[in-house]
Amino acid sequence: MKKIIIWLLIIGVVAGSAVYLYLFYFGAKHKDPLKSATMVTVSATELYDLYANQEDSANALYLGKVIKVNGKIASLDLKESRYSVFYETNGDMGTVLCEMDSTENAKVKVLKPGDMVTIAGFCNGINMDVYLDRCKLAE
Amino acid sequence: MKKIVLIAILAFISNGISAQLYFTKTGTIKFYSHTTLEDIKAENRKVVSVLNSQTGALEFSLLMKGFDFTNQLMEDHFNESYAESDKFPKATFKGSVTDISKVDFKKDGSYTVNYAGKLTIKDVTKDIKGTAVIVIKGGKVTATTALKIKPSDYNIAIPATAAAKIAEEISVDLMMDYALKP
Repeated sequence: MKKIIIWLLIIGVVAGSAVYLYLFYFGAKHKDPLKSATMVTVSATELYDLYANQEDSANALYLGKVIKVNGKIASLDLKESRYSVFYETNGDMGTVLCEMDSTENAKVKVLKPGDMVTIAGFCNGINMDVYLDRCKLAE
Repeated sequence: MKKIVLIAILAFISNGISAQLYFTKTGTIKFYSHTTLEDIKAENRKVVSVLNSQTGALEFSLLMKGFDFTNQLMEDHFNESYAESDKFPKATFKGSVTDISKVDFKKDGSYTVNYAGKLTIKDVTKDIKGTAVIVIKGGKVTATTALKIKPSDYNIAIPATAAAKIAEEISVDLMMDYALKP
């Protein structure tokens, strides 16, 4: 009887660990920008201008954070089943680019240059373009 | 200020009015770590790169937070504990294709070339070199290469508890889809 209880405990611990690993490590889903509690809204023009002129200050404010960006679409690009939305800004060599989450494909497909949109995503900083990823249409 | 720096970099790379610059903002870098305990994969699809077809000058830069992992926890660990992406947001390479003259950019074909330069990650700069394949097809230029990077070379400390899960050498694949810069 004692042996059975010990074996049941061991099996329980192993099974519990496996479920924990599956749920919280291997199965950890990506964060949803729309569910972020700390979201600031900024226009694409303001965001690009701040990054282009004061990268360190912009990083202090936005890097790694969820931001909602509003503005006019300059162009759209589809590569490997992912859409990228490029905003109109004052930049000569760069702009604000949102790489959309693939779950948004049906909504993004109908968008066109000139449309006004608000998109939420994770800010990765500037590398010619200000780059947001895992983006979702906010409105 | 940013514009001035970018124009200066492009001017430096162009090094003469007859040079042709090939440019991309959508290069891809993938890395892969394999151990018996765990495989870790990540991809960055927004690598910026410039290649001067005359001098062979080659640069690329990428945002560390732009790496997309299949698992959120791995991504959080990478950005917070290993790459420290808030403190060191970019990685860069500055160097050249040392035998660019063997590539005929006006003719479709596949060319194996050598490159060398300085790779900077977390403010640590190391010399690297290797071979790449440049493919010319219908005016489009694609460059691919693979290299191995040791995290310890770039001040990326792996704690003892995670050491068994992360390879000592990380495999890195690069693919740049260049277009002629107008």
